[in-house]
This record gives sequence, C-alpha cells and structure tokens, in this order.
Amino acid sequence: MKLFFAPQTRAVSSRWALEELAVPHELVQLKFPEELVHPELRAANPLGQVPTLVDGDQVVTESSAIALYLADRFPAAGLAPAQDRRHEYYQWAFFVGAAMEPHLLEYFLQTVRFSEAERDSARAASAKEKFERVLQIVNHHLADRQYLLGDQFSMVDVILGSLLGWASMLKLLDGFEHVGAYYKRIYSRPAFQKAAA
Amino acid sequence: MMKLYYSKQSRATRPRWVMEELGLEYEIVPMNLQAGDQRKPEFKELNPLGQIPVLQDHERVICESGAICLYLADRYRPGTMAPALDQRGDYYRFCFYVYNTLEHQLIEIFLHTRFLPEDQRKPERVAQAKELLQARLQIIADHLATREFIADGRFTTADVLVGSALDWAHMQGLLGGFPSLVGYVEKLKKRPAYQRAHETEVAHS
Ligand SMILES: N[C@@H](CCC(=O)N[C@@H](CS)C(=O)NCC(=O)O)C(=O)O
Ligand SMILES: N[C@@H](CCC(=O)N[C@@H](CS)C(=O)NCC(=O)O)C(=O)O
Repeated sequence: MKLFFAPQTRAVSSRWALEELAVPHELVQLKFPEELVHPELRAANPLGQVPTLVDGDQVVTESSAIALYLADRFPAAGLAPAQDRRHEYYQWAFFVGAAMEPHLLEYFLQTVRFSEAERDSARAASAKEKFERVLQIVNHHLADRQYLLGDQFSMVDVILGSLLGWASMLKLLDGFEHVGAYYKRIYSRPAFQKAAA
Repeated sequence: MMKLYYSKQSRATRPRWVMEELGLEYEIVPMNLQAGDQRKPEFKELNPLGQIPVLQDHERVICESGAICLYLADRYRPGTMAPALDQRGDYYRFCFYVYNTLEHQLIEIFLHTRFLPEDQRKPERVAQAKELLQARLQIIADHLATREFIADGRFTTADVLVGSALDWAHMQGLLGGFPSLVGYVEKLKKRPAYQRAHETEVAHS
C-alpha cells in the first residue's frame, strides 16, 4: 500500500488511519504544493491531490473515503460499526465534509492563504460565524460522549479529529469546552501524533 | 414505516431513489422550503442545520443525503446496492467525491447564475468554477471509459449519488464537453426506480 502524502494537509487523516490500523505502507512524502506534479501521483489521480492511496490496483482518493475504506479493509481493529448499525457513522463522515469543511476552508483562505490584498474580511467573518454555529452542534453532541459514536473510538473520529487539528491551528476551538476536551483526548493518541508530526 | 422529510428537486430525491431501488415502504413528509418548514423548531430537533433530507427509521434519525443512502444500502437487503465490505475502494471514493470535490463547483455555479439576487452574482467566480469543474468531470469520464457503472461492475448506490450530481450538472447545461457522461445519466434515468423517485409526493405503500 502506498500513500501520497504531504504534511499539514488533508493527507494527515489518511496517515493517521493507517497508523491506527498498524498497516505496513510506503509513504511518498511530497512538499505541498510544488511537488504534487509527481508523475506517479498524477497517473493515479490526475487532479494531483493528496491524499491519494494506492492499494494494489485500487486507487482511492478523498480523505473521508480512504478512512472508511481502510476501516472496512482491516475489520479486526473494530473501527467501523456492524453493517446494519452505521447510521451515525455515515452521518458524521458526511457531516464533516459537507457542513464543516467549506466554512473552515473559506476562513483559512481569507485569513492565511490569500495575499493580504486578496483577503476579504467580510467573507472571513461570515465563514467564522458559520463554522462556529456548526461547531456548536458538535460541542453539544460531545457533552456526554467520549467519542462521536459514544464510548468507543472509531474511524469517524479520525475524520473529525483531522479537521479539528486544522481548526485548532486557526484558533477556532477556543470556547468550545467539549470539543476542546475531545480534541485533547484524540490528539494524545500515538497514531495521530505520528501522522501530524 | 420509515419517514423521509422531502422536497422535490432537492437532495432528498437521492435517498428516495435508493429506497425505490430496494423496494422499501416509506412515507414522504413533504417540506415546503419556500415557506420555511425546515426552520420550524420541531424540524430542527431532527436536524439542527435545518436542511432536508432527514430519514426517520424507527428510533434512528439520520441527516445528510449521502449518509442516508449509504445507511439504507447497508441496512436493507445488504449486498443489493453496495459492494462487499472489503471491496469498497471505488464505492467510497466516488460517494465522497460527489460531496467533497465535485459539488463545490456545482454549488458555486448555481449560486452565482441562478440562486443569488442578480446584484450579488459574481461572473468571475462562475468562470473559475467552470474551469475547475472540467478536470473534475474528466475524472469521472475517465473512470467510466472502461466501466459501465462506478463500482463493483454493477449498479450501486455510488451510481445514485454520482448520477444525481451529474443530472443536476446537466440541467445547468454543464456537461457540454462530456457526451459520455450525458449518456451515463440518460441510461440511469431510464431506471423505473429513478422515475418513481421523481414522481409527485404521494406516500407509497
Ligand atoms: N476532498 C479532498 C480534497 C483534497 C485536497 O484538496 N487536497 C489538497 C491538499 S489539502 C491538495 O492536494 N491540493 C492540491 C491541488 O488541488 O492542486 C479530500 O478530502 O481528500
Ligand atoms: N449536505 C446536505 C445538504 C442538504 C441541503 O443543502 N438541503 C437543502 C435542499 S437540497 C435544504 O434543505 N435547504 C434549505 C435551507 O438551507 O434552508 C445533504 O446532502 O443532505
């Protein structure tokens, strides 16, 4: 198995998933963004994005898809619920990408990535407000749970945790008590430490 | 019976299509988005985001159209609409590709050509989104060049999600350079379950 990876990108999530499952793999470390022209990456994924996972002749892209794929490919670790009880599991997997990430990305672009001249402070403020509104839903959910699905760590915690890592660098978790405690809990996992190093 | 909070011409047709493919019994709860049904407190108890679709399956409440579709495929007549658990690379890849890559551009184009009031539309954002969209559609066209369906060599829930997103792109006139994708969408739309899912909002039994 081969993972095309760049530090401090969405690829951290996939590396974390591999480490949780202790899957032997080859890590192709690339510098973002200049090294994404890597011919083997382009052949597997013409968008040239990380993460891209190559498992034999199977190519998997999309960080959330890679996480779920690995959980099912290595079921012994128990990181995915039984097949008939996956309602919350899938809900959180889609919620992170659909309801949270667009606002976080917009905030990142408008405060960090774009040059000062390109930044639009009204768009940054609106993105922050929308992100915080959604984070409040997650905060409420985590008030009486250790992990997204309850007492047990699962692959959707890798998906949410990776996004929170990004949000935490942008100082967006302050004031969200239960999210903060949750983030600390998962951040201490050796697999996350290794992936985020 | 299962209840689907639904409005036609919305993402709610995706889970409805899956339920029709599986031959499930369900009740449609019609939601008038113009009138703001989705913002009523009793609905926000089900989905604090105030969005449809929402599925109520006995005591389970599930939001996010993609999640509802994958849940249904695993919960009912397992194997009919989803590959075996150890064969899900293409399946998960393209289900998430729809939401986390492809639709970003489709939404941007829709907002700035139709949805927003005219004075807020930004043509330069449409142009940029259209350019990105080409490469993203090409990924699907390349994948389907050697396959009839997205995953597992047969029709699955991944085709419902990819097909629905492409159907929307087609309605916005965005599949111009991709006759093979138009052919794929037209083929899916011939399925009786697709047609039943796009009928009027009567409860099925
Ligand atoms: N929805 C995709 C997004 C992947 C993505 O945008 N990756 C970025 C790094 S965080 C990238 O490779 N960008 C390079 C490019 O788009 O050219 C996922 O979750 O994996
Ligand atoms: N990611 C969500 C998006 C749901 C969504 O945007 N629903 C729209 C209809 S397609 C809605 O309910 N809009 C009402 C509103 O936002 O007020 C999903 O896929 O279910």
